[in-house]
Amino acid sequence: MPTQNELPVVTISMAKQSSVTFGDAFAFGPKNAFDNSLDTAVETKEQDKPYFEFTFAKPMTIGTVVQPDSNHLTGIRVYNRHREPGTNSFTQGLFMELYNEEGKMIRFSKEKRVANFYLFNIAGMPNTVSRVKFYKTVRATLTFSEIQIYSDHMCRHARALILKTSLPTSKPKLPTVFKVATKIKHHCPTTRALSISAAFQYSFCGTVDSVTCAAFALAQNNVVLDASFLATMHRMECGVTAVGPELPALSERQDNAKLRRYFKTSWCAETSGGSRCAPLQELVNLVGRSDGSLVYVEMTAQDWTRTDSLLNVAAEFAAERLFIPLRVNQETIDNPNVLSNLYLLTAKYDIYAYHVNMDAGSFKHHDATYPMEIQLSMIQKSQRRVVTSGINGANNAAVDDEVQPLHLPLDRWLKQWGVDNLTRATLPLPAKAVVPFRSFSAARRRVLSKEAEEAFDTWTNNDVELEQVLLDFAECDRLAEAVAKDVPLLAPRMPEITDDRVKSALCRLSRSISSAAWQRRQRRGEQPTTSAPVA
Amino acid sequence: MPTLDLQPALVLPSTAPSQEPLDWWFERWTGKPVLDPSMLPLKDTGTIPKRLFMTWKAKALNPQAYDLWEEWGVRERLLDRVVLDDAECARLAEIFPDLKPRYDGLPLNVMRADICRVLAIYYFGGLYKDVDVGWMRPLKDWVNYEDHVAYGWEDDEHLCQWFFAARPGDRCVWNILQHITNIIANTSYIDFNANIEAVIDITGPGVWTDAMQGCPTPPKYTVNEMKFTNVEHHYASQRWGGKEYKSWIDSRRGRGLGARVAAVQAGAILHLRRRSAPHADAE
Repeated sequence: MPTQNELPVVTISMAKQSSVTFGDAFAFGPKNAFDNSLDTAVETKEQDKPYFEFTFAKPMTIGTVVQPDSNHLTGIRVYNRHREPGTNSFTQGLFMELYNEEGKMIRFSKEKRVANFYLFNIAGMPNTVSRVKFYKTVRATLTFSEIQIYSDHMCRHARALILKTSLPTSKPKLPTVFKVATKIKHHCPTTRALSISAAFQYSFCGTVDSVTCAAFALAQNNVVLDASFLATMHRMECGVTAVGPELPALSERQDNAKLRRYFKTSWCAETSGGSRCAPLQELVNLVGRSDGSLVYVEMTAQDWTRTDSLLNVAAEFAAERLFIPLRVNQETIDNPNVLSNLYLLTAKYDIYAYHVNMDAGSFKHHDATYPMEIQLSMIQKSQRRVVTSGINGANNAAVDDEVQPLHLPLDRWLKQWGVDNLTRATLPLPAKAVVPFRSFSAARRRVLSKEAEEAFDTWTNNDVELEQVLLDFAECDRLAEAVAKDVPLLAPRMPEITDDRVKSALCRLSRSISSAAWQRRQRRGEQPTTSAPVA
Repeated sequence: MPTLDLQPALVLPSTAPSQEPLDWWFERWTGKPVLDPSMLPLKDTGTIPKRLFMTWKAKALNPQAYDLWEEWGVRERLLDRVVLDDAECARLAEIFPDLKPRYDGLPLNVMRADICRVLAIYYFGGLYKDVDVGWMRPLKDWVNYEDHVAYGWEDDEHLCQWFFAARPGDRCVWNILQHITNIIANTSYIDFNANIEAVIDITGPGVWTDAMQGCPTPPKYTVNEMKFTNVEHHYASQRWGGKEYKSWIDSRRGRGLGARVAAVQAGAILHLRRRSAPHADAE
């Protein structure tokens, strides 16, 4: 069996749920079940027999086998990582039914909650499954954060999932601010929830123990940190520094003394007159510090509209990870400064998870409902620290292998474009009224140098809707094969070319050939190739 | 209270066949003097063979278990009653592909016992019962020997492991073996102290329930029939006393794990006691 990373992405062709809580599909709709973020939510209204179901684009095999193949399904885990009202219902058992391609129910099982998930092991007699349905039999809320599927016997390595269908929930055109804020730029296979306080849940990517850090909490007026956050930081051997003119929320807490014990740095120290914390100006000394590995910035909706907020500090701060709530409302959603502030951050950091916090409220904009708060989890671009020394002197390996720049393989792009696989028959792609907003680059592997990655990002950041495709040479070979009917000699010779520059040039050329061939056929009025070139 | 009117001639002597080694039984069934893996699983003759398997750590049963063993002999006179000990279980585990090293690597004897019963029924066919399961009704009244596999429910979630039957080489039983073999490939990540229910999911009723999904022969017997009507489960670890019947969870409690175990709800402990009876964990 191929290793987990080599397994093809499993495509979900349909997902739906019985109802959406608050009627807000953006925050609680079925698309959130496959967004690879454990902190976003799927949640139904309370009603009889709530359900959630999804369909595999290609039916998966199930059953006990000696060696599972790449299209085998051994288990499904339904995670819950959030604290919405459905939490109580989550303690109830969850039912699962599996259906084959003919729509016949082939499996039925019920699982109790284990920790923060339900795990359905799928073994038994061989069969194929096309549709999966989860439901409850009582009046309840069905709520969870993420669905993960497994192909290994131990159900330990979740496979990558992609939701191909365009759900009704995504119909309203998203304001650009939300497009940028929800565009995941790094793939993070395992995220864990990290509470800043009771109201805030951020996703932490990677291994907690591997982080050597100092955590900074920046705020204009107050910093709200709860004990669990501080304790987590403490376990990670992080010193926590709260920076702001004053810290009323902190000092008002009854367990103030206990909290302050976590504060190891001189910026917030116990004095006879109470806690004394550093003024904002002292942050100047921190800019560029490599050990400031986690920064939480408290930003109000009004702060987001300013050009002189703490966000500037966060952008300049050499933090490894940045937690920041994007707060907008009806008045500020169209404010250009909000977007430029967001771009300021995304130029330095990549988003690897976001959590829609509906507790913070929502607002109407162009007949659609949007959340007032999205908690962004970000990581510094090209963050690859190997060994660092923490402020408490601990040396820890801090390699973020789990966080990889996200360059989708061609097959996944093709699936998004509605093509199952790359063959002579499927090219050129079906015609559209406009030139597809796609750009292509070619490289030996889908891993770029730091400089190339920055150039890549510049395009992405400035054109949010641009589909930037990075082809590796194996994909170039396949493209050449696909255009072989137009250039018969290209395909067999393409794999033999070893010079990277020649190969890249030919790769570009093969796309052009595809384009030219299409135009030629159009001119000749050939049918039925009513389609557009690849690029 | 009805009395059991046994004729002296029907009472089996203490040197009963439970003392016979597996090779002895194999010769009886096949004519070959030594267990021959190439002949396993035995040929399916179209019915569930009249063999009743039990597993215990040694050939000699303790008094309470021996009483039940005797009664089964009296009530079901055509049954071959086979007690497999740990060494014989290990021999069977060697035959199933990839199983033996994983079987040896299991941390608890109760897990090996869970696997041994499946191996016995898969290779030889017949019926299996825990040594603390007593006779209640004639098997001919409720076991259809022409079924491929016969089994029931332990509770509303799990299939029953303490009594089941199948023809040799049955595909559903193979599923259980293969599924267990798959998931015990690496048990190093499992903290049995922190998660006492892991046994249920790795070799116990949980894995059975998963592996039997889609079996063409559905479970036939209700929870009540499995516990009280068709057979009676005596729950040795709770009722019989004696360290040899102490459940594995109690054994671990004695090693300073009481605090963790006590934290588990009483229901879960009872459940584990029931399903792990009667084998002591002789680690």
